Amino acid sequence: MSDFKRKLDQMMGDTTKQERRIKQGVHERLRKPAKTFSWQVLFVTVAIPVVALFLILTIDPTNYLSSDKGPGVPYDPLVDLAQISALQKKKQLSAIDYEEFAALPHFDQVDGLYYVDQETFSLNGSSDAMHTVIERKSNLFDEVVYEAGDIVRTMTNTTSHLPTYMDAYYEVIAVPGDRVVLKKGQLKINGKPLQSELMDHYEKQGITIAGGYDQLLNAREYFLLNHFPASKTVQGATITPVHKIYGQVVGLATEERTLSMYMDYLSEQLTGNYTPEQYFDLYVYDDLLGFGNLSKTPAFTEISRLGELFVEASYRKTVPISDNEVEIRYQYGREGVADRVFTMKRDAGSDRWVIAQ
Amino acid sequence: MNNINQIIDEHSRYLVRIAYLYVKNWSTAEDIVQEVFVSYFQKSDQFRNEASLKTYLTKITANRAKDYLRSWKHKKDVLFDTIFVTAKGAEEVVLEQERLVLLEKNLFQLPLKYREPLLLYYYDEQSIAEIANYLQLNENTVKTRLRRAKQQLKGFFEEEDWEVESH
Repeated sequence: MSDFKRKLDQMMGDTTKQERRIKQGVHERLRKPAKTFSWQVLFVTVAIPVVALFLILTIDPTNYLSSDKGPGVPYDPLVDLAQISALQKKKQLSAIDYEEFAALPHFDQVDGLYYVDQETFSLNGSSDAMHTVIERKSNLFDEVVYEAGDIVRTMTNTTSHLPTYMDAYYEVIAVPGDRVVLKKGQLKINGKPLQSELMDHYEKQGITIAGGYDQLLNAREYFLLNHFPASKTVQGATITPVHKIYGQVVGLATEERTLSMYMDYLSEQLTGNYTPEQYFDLYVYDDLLGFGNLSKTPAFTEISRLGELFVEASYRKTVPISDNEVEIRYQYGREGVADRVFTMKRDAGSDRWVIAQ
Repeated sequence: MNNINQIIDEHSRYLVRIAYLYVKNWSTAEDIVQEVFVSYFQKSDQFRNEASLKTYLTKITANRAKDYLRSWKHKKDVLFDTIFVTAKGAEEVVLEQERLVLLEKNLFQLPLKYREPLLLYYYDEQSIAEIANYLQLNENTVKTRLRRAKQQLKGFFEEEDWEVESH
């Protein structure tokens, strides 16, 4: 082996984790069932010649002489992406006004599908350390769970369109089934220009909406805009899949008065007697949103969709195996979507529940 | 299943490193290698044993990595990297690590047309003739590109590595 090859190997370091994930991924992919016969495909195949014949008989070729027709120049997200990302990097994308949350209900207890955001703030006239309370939705894959006007939190960096950021609050602008048309900053939902307080705010503050869509939102897509945009900025109007939305802002919690394992975690006083499911949530929370205070969970290093496990909490069940062992089962009830099972064991030394390998 | 595990265990380390040397992103490198294995196991009857399995898988990995570098997704990722990635401060790393960080930085600054012959020659240990055949270039062009690549990285080569020789 040449010295240079040795240096390259040192440069790349230990790749055991990558190798383990590759192996697991290959096995998962190979386990997927083979495609089955689809009557829809047969129907479409038969229908194509009929439709083609119909079009040939009815099309007026003179319609195609107009120079106004054609696909036009599509919107290129890369143009705005750099500007939006640069603003975010300099923390100039959002100007969060926490006072707007003052009217939200106070939660004495935060548990179940609710969790607290890790960011602390204070409100005028109160010395309490506040956090927003976020609700993870149940049945998020089976129903329309957010409405226009809801304020939500997202996971960072959607994989298409323009980016969303974890430290921004987004407003739901359009929901599944809505047709969104955005062209040169003009936003129309279902054919009408959008009129809302947020749009007025955008106009008054000289904020540009970036994006270019003419799209019917599918059953799992929502259209989001920054709810607290800084003035004179460019904001990405983003079509976001529902599993990338952490949940809706529904209330406030205080470190002083709210009972919650999340509060215990954030104040580094994890002394409560929590259930295995609570511990499971806490491990995911620590990994995704928290401060990495808990010991790393080896089972998580092989999971690329950890965020979804957090968001999809309503799809799981806890199945007791023994006094010291339970299973956390994610069951989606859809063909082709594999269930995921985690085993949790009670650690005899600390009496905490930990996720077994 | 044992056969699958054996092939993955035998080749994944090498392939993920080859993929990384092309794409400079571990997660993308993992995806590429995963795709290579899945495709191989689904169509392994098409593998005709003309080359060793390692050579075959390496070639497929390199091809997929280059497909990725040409894709729109890659261009977007590069933009994110440029904006978000900040280098670690010099005080954070010990001298040797600092050199490796510098090597990585310099290596990925090389255009692919220089980096590819370099990694095929020094990492995959192919001969000049094999590289020329794979890249559809003549051998002198490969030698020239190798020399230029090494000039850019000259601080990282030992004396004995300097002579470009045919294996």
